[in-house]
Amino acid sequence: MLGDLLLIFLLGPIGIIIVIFRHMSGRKKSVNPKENKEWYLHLALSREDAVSQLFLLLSFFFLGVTLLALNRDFGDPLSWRTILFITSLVGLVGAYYLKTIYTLVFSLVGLTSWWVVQTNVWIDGKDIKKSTLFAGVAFLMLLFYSLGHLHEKEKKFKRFALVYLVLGIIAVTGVLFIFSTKPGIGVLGEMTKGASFVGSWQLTLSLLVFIASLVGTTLYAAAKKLLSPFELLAVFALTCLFGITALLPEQSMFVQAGLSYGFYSGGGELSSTGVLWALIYNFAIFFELLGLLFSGYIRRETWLINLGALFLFLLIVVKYFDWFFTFFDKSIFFISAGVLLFVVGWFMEKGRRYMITNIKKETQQIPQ
Amino acid sequence: MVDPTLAEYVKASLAQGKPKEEIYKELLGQDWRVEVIQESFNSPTTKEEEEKEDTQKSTIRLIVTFGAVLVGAGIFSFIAANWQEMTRPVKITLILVSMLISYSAGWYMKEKSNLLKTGEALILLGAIIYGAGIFLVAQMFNIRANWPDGFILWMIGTIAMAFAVESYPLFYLAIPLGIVALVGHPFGIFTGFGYNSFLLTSSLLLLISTIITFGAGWIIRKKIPPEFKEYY
Repeated sequence: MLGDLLLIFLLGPIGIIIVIFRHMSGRKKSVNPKENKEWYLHLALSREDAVSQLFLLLSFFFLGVTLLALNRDFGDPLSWRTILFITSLVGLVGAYYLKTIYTLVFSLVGLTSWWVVQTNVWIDGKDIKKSTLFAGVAFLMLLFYSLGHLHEKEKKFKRFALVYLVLGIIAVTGVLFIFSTKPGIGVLGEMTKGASFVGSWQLTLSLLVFIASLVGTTLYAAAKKLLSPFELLAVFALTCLFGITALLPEQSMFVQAGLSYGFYSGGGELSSTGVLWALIYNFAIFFELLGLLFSGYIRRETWLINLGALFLFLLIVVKYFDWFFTFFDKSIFFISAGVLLFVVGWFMEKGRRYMITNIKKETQQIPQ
Repeated sequence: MVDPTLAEYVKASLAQGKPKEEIYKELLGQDWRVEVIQESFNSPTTKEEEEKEDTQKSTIRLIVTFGAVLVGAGIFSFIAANWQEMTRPVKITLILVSMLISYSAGWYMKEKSNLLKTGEALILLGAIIYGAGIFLVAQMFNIRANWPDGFILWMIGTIAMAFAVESYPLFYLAIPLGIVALVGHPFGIFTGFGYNSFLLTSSLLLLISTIITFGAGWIIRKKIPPEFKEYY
């Protein structure tokens, strides 16, 4: 019995060590920025960098848990949300001072999570529509996107830029993706129920700060030529879309009121308002992804093209399920899904290769 | 143009198993410029040699690490099977002796016999025995403590040893140990499961861990190769 326990006790950490060891082994060969033009795509440039970043991340987490434990020992004078805020803020300052990517990611996620949970406390008992909360998060993510491009100005912040960009792109795409589906439209309808956000001054102030920072950062990045006019337009179009969503009066998205919006169960039939919002979000996600691919091509960033292509592929698969699962006979559904995937795969492989080859050709022609 | 004497020196040093950072330090001490050293590392013959060495080293490292793990598992399986019959002094002696033997043999092989990988694997085994020792002693004397504290003590000891013998596998071991403690503590704090707020040792240990992990990260950061400094 004790032997088994000891073996489990030994094998658990060993499994984790092997995973970390493999990750670190990959870092054993340093990435030399002078030789590798895409050096900033690596989260760590050398083994020392990777290990030191992991320890600094651990210390950031330990700080949070220490504060939680001390708080408990002294009779909970602070809420766990306050501790989350303090820790994330310290992490953010530390990440900038020590240039640690891992800590930056968790600090940004921590601060965003803090705002969400704190806003829930602010609006508690006031019956304020949740769509405002969603808009706030979306503004923050768009702000990350603009901040990402702003960070590209300096060489030593290029990896920070990537963190901001990836967080922003993934979150905004995720939001558009969810609201472009039938269950998402149902959630959107639910979120518009309730009173206006002006009922909570904290929430109103937060939204104003977010909007002002977003507009300011985006315009500044555009003025510094770090954001193309097309990207500027895209950021403002998405800001308007999310802003309008926050201001919407109550919307009934389904023909029969109170009908559930279960997954692919035939669910409720969308009302004309529901169809309108479905169209808006489907167009938004489609053009956002096309814009992402285009932006990658213009900037000669293969990672952006790959990310856009991956999201586009996922979108097509999900849309196919969303629209045709209950509409087609099952055998026709699967056969046509297979054919569609082949066609999509062929187009994507050809298109991606064409774009990347063009980028490589152009890079070779431009003297570095 | 790569300096042939320098390239030859780099190649020979790599063949001796010297880490890249050490070669850099030596050559910088001899007034070579970073760019020139870098070029000699990138010369085709050195690169080829380095890749070949890397493959061999990885294989050896893998074999000896598994060896260390299996020996560790075997020893503990034996101890566990005979645990009830042993007296307390025998148990403690056994833990201490096996840890010391493992560390000493590892240090000797690494530093004196130039068997880097085998030495590091034995030191890793020593660190595993040290951790197991913490829990066995706690169980023997029925020590009242929150269980993640054991992992914190294990992590702190492992980091200290990692710095003492400059062994990266020990750092890799310390990281998951820290993660286990980090996951365990909030679980205890929020659920109250097994957490005793009168045991202030937990908070104190957590504070010490914050300082130690930060210090470890800071010190290792200073070892980042000089050619990367401008990117930080």
